[in-house]
Amino acid sequence: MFSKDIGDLTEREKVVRLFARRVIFIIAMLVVVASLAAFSMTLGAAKISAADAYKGLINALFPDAFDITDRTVRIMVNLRSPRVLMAAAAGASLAMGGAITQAILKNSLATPYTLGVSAGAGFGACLAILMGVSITAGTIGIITNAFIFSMIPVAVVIVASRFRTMSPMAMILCGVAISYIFGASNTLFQYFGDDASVKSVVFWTVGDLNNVSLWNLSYVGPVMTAVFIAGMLMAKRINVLGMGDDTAKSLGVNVERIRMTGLILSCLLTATVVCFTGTIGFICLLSPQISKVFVGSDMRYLLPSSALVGACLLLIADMGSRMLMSPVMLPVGAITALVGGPAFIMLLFSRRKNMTGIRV
Amino acid sequence: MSPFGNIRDRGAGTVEKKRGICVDLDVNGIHFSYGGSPILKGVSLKVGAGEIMGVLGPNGSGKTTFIKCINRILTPSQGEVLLDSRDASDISSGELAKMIGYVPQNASYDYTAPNVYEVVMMGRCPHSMGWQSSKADDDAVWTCLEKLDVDHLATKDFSKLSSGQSQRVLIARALAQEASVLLLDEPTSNLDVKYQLEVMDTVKGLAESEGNIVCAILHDMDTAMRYCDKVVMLENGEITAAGPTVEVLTPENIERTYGVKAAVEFIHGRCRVMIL
Ligand SMILES: Nc1ncnc2c1ncn2[C@@H]1O[C@H](COP(=O)(O)OP(=O)(O)OP(=O)(O)O)[C@@H](O)[C@H]1O
Ligand SMILES: [Mg+2]
Repeated sequence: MFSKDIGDLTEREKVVRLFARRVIFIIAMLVVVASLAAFSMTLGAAKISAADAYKGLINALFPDAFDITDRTVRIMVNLRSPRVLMAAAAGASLAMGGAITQAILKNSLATPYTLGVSAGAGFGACLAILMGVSITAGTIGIITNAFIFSMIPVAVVIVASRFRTMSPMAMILCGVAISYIFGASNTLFQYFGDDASVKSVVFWTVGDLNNVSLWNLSYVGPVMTAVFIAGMLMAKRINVLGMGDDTAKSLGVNVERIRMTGLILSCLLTATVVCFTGTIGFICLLSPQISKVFVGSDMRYLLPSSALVGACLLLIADMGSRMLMSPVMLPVGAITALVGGPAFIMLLFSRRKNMTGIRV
Repeated sequence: MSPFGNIRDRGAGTVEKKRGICVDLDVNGIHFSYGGSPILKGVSLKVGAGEIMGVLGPNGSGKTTFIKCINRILTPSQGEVLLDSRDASDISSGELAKMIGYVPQNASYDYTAPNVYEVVMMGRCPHSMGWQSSKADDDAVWTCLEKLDVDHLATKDFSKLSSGQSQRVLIARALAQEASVLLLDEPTSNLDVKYQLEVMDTVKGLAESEGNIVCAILHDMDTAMRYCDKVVMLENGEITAAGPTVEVLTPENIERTYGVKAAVEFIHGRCRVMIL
């Protein structure tokens, strides 16, 4: 099927081929993500051979399958697998949040972060750490606080749109304004906080996979799956939204409802990740853009491929953060921003113009 | 005075009412304003199955606004839209999209960059909101692409088409909706002479064979004379003339509305409007 020259293809064959290419990209990315995750499992400060690492993982599921030390099993279960799995899940979640928000607000700059999710989470964490204001004490208190406050900006948008219809741009600007308010309050608190707490706040705001544990995934995993399924079910309607609100209405799409649902879902997903990992930048901005080059803007393909590209990017960034200055583990959020920034600028200037993927 | 009579002997009543198909569009006293001053001040019209209604009027007279009120892109402040005596405000937006196809005045693509095939596939949305598109959808899309002669553009980026090409794609999308009412906002404004005729012939063919109700905003009075069964003249949000095309498109009406001199003459088998 792929041996024919493009010139010989009928239009129908070209369309079929275009869709086939998208599916192939998604399958290829699945393989890449799986291999990266598998490889990442073998890396770490502890000297464990690749074979022992996998044996340790298998032993964790089926005790006594292999003859492996308890220490290896513990390292694999408590340190490496949470880290690797969270890198994949968080990358995929952040990317999906970005892909959905960009499409429903019709703006490449619109991500859950620009809408204030990260600033809200930072503020919530800051309240818990510096002021001791939280529902429960300790880490759980910080996480709950971060989650609750990260949903405040989207709550404001929802309440405001009850009183007047908000354009996508108004929603973005509203989120940006709230981000500034949270940011400024954060700075003020830090101004009066003691050194140790301030350090932990700063550390918290830079995204980091050092403190994740397996139970975190029991929250991120289900939310991610649910948002993915919902996103796929809404995909066609989100596509139509991209043609303008009037057209979408004339094609039977409830524009306000789709926009609100998409907004809530993507912010919820991002908040769920951010409250465990802190702010990991650029994945939500970069992954949908990279995917678009390969699969176009059809949400049915863009959503899964963004998720996979996001997982891939964060897995790589995480490996970098562990290996660059080993045994020191750098915060992965700093790596994604440092590498993601220039990568994004490059993409901006070299963006392949033919988004459909077929070179004619 | 009846050289005009012979072009109107095609009865609208010949089209039988099919199941689920709308045969009667009745718009009553629509009022609308964009917040400030009123744009529409009680506009009414009635179109039956198989009829093509032309909506004419100067720029800014409210034609586009009026069409958008019919399929509830805009919600009129007063008045009602009846489809087979069912009030459109009682019909869900999904169901309404199965009944009314719409071609906007301008191609708009805010953010995404779909290709032509995908744009026309969007017309199938009201019929299949699920995740996958069926074979039937695919066939319907190709039929419409071929009808509008844009099938060779199928994989091309929609945002990179010429105005005329994208206009034909949008018409193909509206046809893919398979709705019995068609609202066309200046469907031929960017088309060359050949496609102007082809597109209007396609629309007329649909009206005659399927009994579609067509409401078309037109600026070219000769096109209106050639294809429309009835015409309304809209001026400052009010209807100033309505009725059979030959009765409305008179030199007097044209001069009063547009301030240009025109002649209507019977040449080569039909009435023609000529701007003098
Ligand atoms: N979104 C809007 N907000 C405020 N006023 C509007 C809006 N859209 C249109 N108008 C005003 O409503 C009036 C009617 O506009 P409309 O688009 O219906 O005109 P039209 O008859 O379709 O004109 P044209 O022949 O140029 O297409 C114009 O005076 C226009 O300025
Ligand atoms: Mg108009």
